[in-house]
Amino acid sequence: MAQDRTDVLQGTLELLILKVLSLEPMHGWGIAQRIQQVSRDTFQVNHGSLYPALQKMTGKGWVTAEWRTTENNRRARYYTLTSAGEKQLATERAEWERSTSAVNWILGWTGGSA
Amino acid sequence: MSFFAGARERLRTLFFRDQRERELDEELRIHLEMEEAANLRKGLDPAEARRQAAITFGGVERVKEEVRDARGLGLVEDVVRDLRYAARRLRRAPAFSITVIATLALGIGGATAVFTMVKAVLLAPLPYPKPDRLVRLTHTASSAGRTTADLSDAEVLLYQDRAQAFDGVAAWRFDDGDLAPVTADQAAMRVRGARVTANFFDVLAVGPVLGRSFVEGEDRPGKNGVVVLSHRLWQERLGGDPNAIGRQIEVNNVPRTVVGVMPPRFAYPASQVELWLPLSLDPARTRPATLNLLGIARMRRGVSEDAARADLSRVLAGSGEHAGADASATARRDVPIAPNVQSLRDSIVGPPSKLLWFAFGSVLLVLVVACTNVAGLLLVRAERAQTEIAARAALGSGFRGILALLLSESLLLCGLGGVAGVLVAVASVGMVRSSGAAMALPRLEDVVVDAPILLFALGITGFCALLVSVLPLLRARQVPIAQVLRSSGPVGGRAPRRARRALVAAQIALAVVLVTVSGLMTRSLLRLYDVQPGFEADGVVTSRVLLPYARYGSGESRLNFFEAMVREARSIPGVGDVALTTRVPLSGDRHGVALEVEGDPTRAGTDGAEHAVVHVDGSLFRTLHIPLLGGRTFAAQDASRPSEEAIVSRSFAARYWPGENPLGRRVRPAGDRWHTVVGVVGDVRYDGLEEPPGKTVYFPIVVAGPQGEGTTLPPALSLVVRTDVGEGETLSAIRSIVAGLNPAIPTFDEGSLQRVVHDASTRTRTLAVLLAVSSMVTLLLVAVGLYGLIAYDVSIRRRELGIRMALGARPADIRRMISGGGLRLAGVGIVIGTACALASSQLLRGLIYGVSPTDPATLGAAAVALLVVSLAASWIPARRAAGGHPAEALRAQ
Repeated sequence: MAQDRTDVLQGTLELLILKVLSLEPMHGWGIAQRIQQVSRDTFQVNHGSLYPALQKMTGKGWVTAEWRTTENNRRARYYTLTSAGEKQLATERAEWERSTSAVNWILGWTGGSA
Repeated sequence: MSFFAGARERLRTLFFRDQRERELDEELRIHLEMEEAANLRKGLDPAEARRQAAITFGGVERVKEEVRDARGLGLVEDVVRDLRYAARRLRRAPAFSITVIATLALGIGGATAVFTMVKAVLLAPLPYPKPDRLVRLTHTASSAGRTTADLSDAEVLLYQDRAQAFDGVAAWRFDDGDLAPVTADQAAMRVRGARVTANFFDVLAVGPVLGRSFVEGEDRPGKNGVVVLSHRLWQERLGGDPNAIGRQIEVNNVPRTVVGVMPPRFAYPASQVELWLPLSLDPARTRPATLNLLGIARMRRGVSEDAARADLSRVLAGSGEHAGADASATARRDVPIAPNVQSLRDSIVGPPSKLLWFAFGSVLLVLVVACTNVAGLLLVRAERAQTEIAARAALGSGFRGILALLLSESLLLCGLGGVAGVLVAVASVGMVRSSGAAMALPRLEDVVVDAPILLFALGITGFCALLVSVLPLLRARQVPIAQVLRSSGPVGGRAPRRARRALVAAQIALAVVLVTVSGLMTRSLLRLYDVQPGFEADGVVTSRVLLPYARYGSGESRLNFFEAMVREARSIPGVGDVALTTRVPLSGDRHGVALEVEGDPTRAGTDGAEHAVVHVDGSLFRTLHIPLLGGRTFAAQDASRPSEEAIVSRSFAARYWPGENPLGRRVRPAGDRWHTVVGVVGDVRYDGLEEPPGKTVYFPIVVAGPQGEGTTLPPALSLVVRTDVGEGETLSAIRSIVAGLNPAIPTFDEGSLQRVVHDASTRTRTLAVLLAVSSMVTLLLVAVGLYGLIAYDVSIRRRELGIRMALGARPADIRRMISGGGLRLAGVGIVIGTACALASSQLLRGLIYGVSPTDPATLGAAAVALLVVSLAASWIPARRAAGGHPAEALRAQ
């Protein structure tokens, strides 16, 4: 049954990837599955959009990539979070929480000056 | 940290593009397989599993593109890609590429090499602390004409004592030294040295790397048994011994204590100086008549050169009753000498500066010609690439894309040309350094290709790139796209032809200027070769010997040595005449001795530097074939009585006793006894071929001793030998004679007199060679440029020519038409070039000799040379044009 596909904003995709990778190194398909599962199927990313994001993050040094064998004995390219990536996760998370708080204040505004 | 990790990935993307593409391919494929497998597990059938997987994934190609974009290093990647593409295109046209690169290498390399010299010699400040405070002190004797003279020890002591404007006043003179061997495996060696005042190094503010420099008081008699070595001498002679301080070495048979070693690149007063000895200044016994010390000083802060000069004048004026040991004070006081203060840098670099700027100008000209050639070639290439440009424009490439296409090729070519040019420059600088000592180029040790030079090379490479790209770019904007695509070939317009014609005409004009100047320089050189030096150099060898004071202190011991040397030299097989002299003509080393002419109120001493004073034995004139015009030569000299004879040159006699008989007149060195003129000889050029023959006075080698007692001889004399046998054999025979008389005395300044005369024209010869090479290169470039232009013209006009021939034009007509076009263009260029050469003729004054800068014969020859080259360059394509078959031409293109 197709759930509502909620499009993930581009910026938060990186945040989500960083979080998933902070738990353990994973290949591209695994990251997609993880996001879907952990978000309880709210986010079903277009798998293709993962890869440009991963490329950008590799270029910025937040993750490294290497070829490994999976449990099923096939090759896959695994991405690992670097220490810079951890810092970036913390930064983006803080930023996310700031913006959501701000949105919540505006939504909770009942009129008149605050 | 993240930057480096990321950077590795970015670099990998750059260099292993294909590998990355394959990896990406595989990664995406694996992803789809995994999704497919998951769908299968959910129970979908294989086809549906695959379809769902594809939908979930999104478009694979689009993803790949997005990944590539995300990879984007942006500008860098684009540039690299363009350059790679350009390299591939250029590889397909090797002749074109090599021509362009070689042309640029010649132009950029030449300009960089000369700039290296200009920067080191003319632009860079002297390598001493606060170099603008350092000045050179000289005197001007201002009576009968102004001439420059140096300082005597009297003035040095006076200025050191009384002058207020300076932190220190020092002086030096050259003094070569014989070094006895230090270890058993060394031979006696003669080195360039300098005698300096104790504060010499302090004035320059350079300290030794080992030990100390001289202390105050070490330049007094009896206290000066010390020596400071150069870094190189310390390495070579003492093996770099860290305990060298305190060791004794024997210089000129006198043991001296090493007190210091100078840093490796210290090179004052000349890069060949290997040791510094203190002068022996005795305040009680000065010789004010001998102006042989070169003065340098460091001005106090805030003092200007004018103020310093005024201060010295004040001191000199107040010097009053300063009696010299040789009683010449009277003579000197009546000779008004005025002190001069000049920046030290100017005094070092002054003389060759004009030569260097001139050389720089000429290589820049060659560079411009090279660039115009390259611009023309690139223009042609852009023309041929019209089809590609049109196609790209039609496909929406936009101006930036076209720009990238054209620029990347010229950037790549210019970059390679620049690198090749730097290599050419390094090689040329290496050659100059090894031959520069012969050219006596000052500050040779600073001539090195370093970072600022490379920056300069980069700068002019960029400038070239700009220059050569402008025209093709302008042209690219005007490509009529539809027309080009329809005719599937380049469309020739008027504009590019006009541009190229202008380029070639400019090249020809520049070539005319260069060839003219080269011709003038060559003629100067030939004139110089024609100058009569006043003696015959063929078959004459010279060899100089310096007798150390320690063992040959008395006049008698010296005379015995020299007479024995002469006697044995006469018995060498093949030797004719043998003589002794203090000065070999044209071998440098000029300083003046004050002279007095009896009965002449204008002291000859005021023109001290102008008069060569030479001590000779009686057989010199016969040996060198200097004509004896009247009277006789010196009688035999012996050690017991000083001779009181003198011989003068013709122009000396004409100056002081015009129209009268000079025999019987008297002259004397200031403060010495009178000498009677017994003979007149022909003029000899002692100082330089370009200078008028000097008024020379010859004295015998046995003269009165110090304070007029006894006799003495100069300690250094050159043996002059005329021989039929080879130079090498005679010189080695002389060496063994001297070694037989005293094995510790080496000979030096050996060689044939012919080579000395040849070396005297070195500066002119260097310029002539440089300009001849530049002219050849330029003529070649012009020929290539003109040929290329006309050949291209012909190729464009094939249809037109075919039509003409079909309508009845004969091959000769076609030939005439084509080559006529080329010659007309050459004519324009020649006219402009001749006008420019005439306009810039003033710049040549001082560099050419014996020929006018606007010499019509030379200008005409240059014009003719260019005409011939243009004719040859036009002829070949003209012949090919006329040789084509009309039907083929009509069918072509």
